[in-house]
Amino acid sequence: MTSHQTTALDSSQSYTKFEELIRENEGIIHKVCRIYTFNEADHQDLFQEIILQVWRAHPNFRNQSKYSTWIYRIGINTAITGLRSKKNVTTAYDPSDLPALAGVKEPEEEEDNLHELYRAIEKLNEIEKAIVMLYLEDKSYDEMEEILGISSGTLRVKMNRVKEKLRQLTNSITNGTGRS
Amino acid sequence: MELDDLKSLWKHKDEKKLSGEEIRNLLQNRSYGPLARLKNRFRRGMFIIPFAVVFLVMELSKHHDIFNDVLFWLYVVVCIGLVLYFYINYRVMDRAQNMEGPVKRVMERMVHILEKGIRIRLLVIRILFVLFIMVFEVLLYFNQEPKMVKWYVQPLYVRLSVYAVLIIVFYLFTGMVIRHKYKTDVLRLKEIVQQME
Repeated sequence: MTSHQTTALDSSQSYTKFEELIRENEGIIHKVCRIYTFNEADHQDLFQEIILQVWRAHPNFRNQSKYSTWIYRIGINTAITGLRSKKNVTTAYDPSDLPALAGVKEPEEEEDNLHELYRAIEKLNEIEKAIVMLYLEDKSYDEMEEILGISSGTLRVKMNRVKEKLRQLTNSITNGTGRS
Repeated sequence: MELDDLKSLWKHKDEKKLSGEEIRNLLQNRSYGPLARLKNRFRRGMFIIPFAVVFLVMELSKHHDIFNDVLFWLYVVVCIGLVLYFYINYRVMDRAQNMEGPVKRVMERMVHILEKGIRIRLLVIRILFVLFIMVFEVLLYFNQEPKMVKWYVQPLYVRLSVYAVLIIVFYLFTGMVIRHKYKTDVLRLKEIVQQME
């Protein structure tokens, strides 16, 4: 069963159904963590917090949206409202901890470019990060609208601005490190 | 490198799959979120105060007749007010913890709940303070406590003036402290809502 085929949860289905749905959708939660945290410890903390929020909310899921959409919403909301308030949170970019790069074998220059792009993403604001993540997930503007609650017209404008901002940020990072 | 170049890497990255036991273990942990922490603090307050009252009754009743003691009843009134205060805050935080819904709507809802919470908190604390003063005066009128006699022999206008000054100072102080305490969170959430416009 895919996340598109999920059914509404009711009290009799409680825990087993929850566990099954989490296993199907945990990739979404990891991706939310990956875009909002930049080292493994923060990633794990946020992952746990999102699971707790999903567990808390899952009796209320009424099948009005896809389960995956519902998870994206809870994940992004939890990440945005919880991140900075956590004591001693580390948000500094740490390439060795970066989950997206772990185990990926890329040519050295390609990998450096990728690090620069991640550094640039880190500098985006919370909503821009959410837009970037949904874009990387190949979500349509209608799906983004459903998750974020921003009209698709505004999202298109924002997407173009984010791309331009990333270009500028990666350029400034490159120049800042003395590479052209 | 452009954003589109990241797409393939992004999609092909597999995370370790959780086992049933790992999911159960995650659910055993407590939430670290700011709202959860505040909620726990208010819940603790709600339960600790009645215990404190019972403990005080048990301890003091051994030595003298506390049920005819003005200060004791004043203390009880304040404790009841504090329990009410913690309960209202607990309910506000419980509602704010709801993360369901589109991101923009959730952020707007949180701003609304937090701002409403600040108003309620200020209102309850200030009403409690005024009640405290009123109960203090009424109880002294009916039952003049020997320890308070110096205060009670003061002319009424002196007492009222002191109470008025205390209420004004308390009003300004609570406004400053509570707004300062929650200002950062509310401003940050408003900024996020602004980012979505």
